[in-house]
Amino acid sequence: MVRGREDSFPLPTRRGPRRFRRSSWEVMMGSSWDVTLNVLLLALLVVTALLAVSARDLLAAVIVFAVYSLIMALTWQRLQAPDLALTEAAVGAGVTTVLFVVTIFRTRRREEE
Amino acid sequence: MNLWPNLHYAVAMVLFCIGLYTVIMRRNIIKKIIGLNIMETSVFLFLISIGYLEGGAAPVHGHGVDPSRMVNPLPQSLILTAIVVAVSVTALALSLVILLYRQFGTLDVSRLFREEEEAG
Amino acid sequence: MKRLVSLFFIGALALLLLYVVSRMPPMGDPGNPTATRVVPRYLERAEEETHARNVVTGIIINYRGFDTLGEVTVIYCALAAVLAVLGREKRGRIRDYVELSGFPSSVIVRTMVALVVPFILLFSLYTILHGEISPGGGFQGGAVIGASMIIFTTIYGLHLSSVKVSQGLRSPLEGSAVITFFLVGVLGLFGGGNFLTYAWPKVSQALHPALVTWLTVLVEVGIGLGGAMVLVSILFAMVREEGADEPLA
Repeated sequence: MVRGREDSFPLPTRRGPRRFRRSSWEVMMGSSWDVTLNVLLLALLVVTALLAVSARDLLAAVIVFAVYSLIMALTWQRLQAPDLALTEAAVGAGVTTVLFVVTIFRTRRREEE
Repeated sequence: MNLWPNLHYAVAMVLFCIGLYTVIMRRNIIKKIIGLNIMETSVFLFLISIGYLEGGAAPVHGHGVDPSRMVNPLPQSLILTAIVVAVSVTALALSLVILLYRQFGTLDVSRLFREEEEAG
Repeated sequence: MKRLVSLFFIGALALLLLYVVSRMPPMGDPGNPTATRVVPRYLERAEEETHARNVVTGIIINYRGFDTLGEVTVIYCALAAVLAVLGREKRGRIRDYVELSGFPSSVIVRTMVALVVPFILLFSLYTILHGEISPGGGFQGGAVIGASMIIFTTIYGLHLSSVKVSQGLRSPLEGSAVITFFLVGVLGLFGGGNFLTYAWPKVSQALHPALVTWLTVLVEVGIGLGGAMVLVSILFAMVREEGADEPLA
């Protein structure tokens, strides 16, 4: 996905019908929308990581950790790594989270003080 | 000092420090394992961000993308292996936690150290 | 006291790392050394040398195949260690002594899971087989199969899912990742090249493109199946009850 370039993929620039030309407003909003989305995803990463390590209920911590894995997978997709996003989504939210939940059900649910 | 263009790197370092703090300071073993996972995924984020190219495309031929516009595929292959290793380590650590709880009845590291000292 | 010392240490480490990061070249710059040195050779020649359109799959199976051999060894060793710690059930079905209650078993959830799991398995098969022409690959599909079996075990219970994916099915297939990879590598030796040479230099030219693609798909299927069975076996080992679960004296 390439935004903000005049010779953009997948269509070459044509001097033909007007619908292939991007207005300057589109170019400006396109690139700052990308930046905003990236910053939002990174901020959410930090917030969910902090929540996951500070929750007293272990089950809540593990569920927030699943959200962290998902947002990490979305960030990797934004960085054009689709294989890794697929793997992290399947492994992080699917396998690791369930293994944590099984362990919590086998041991204890609240953190001791 | 350009921190703003390197925001992904900076967030990866911050997440690494959050994970390290969790591994050091939290007393519950499951929290430590969560911190370990956060450290691992932060390093993956750092390496993938290094390979990013502005306006780049995913490294798959066949969609008419010019090879000089693709992002770097080498860190991605490295991290694919690393994700598998991370899930293996987590699975083994959690099974050891189950065994530890069966043996000692607690998941608190300070109590485990005390009981180990008393047991001699 | 310990908290202050560790906070100070981690704060200093964070400042050092942020300083290093701020001195790095800007992210995404096309003039970066990471984009101009080694990478263009891989990107341009990947399709003709590995016959895989997905460059990442071409790298992990062909160019950097040894690392993938290490990866499948690691996941097999993890399974061996988990089974050494927790033990494997005897041949036959796992009898549930205690239901893992707390998971809902309402009619809606059971019906939806029964409807959705076949499509998840179909998608994982698609992901494994399309590993070289689109994003996807061996371990991705294996992880998705593992995730689908985890859903099934959670809702329907360990007894039924251990009937569906019995130990007789899992045990031979757990090592399939390592065995497939190793056999295909040794096949490269027979063909006249080095270990893990997919294109056989001494065989006739007409055989080449199909042979490379078929061997790559075989390796992908092996890794996917092996990874899936390993994840399912780890899950069954952890969920299974061994008698009562009280701490020993």
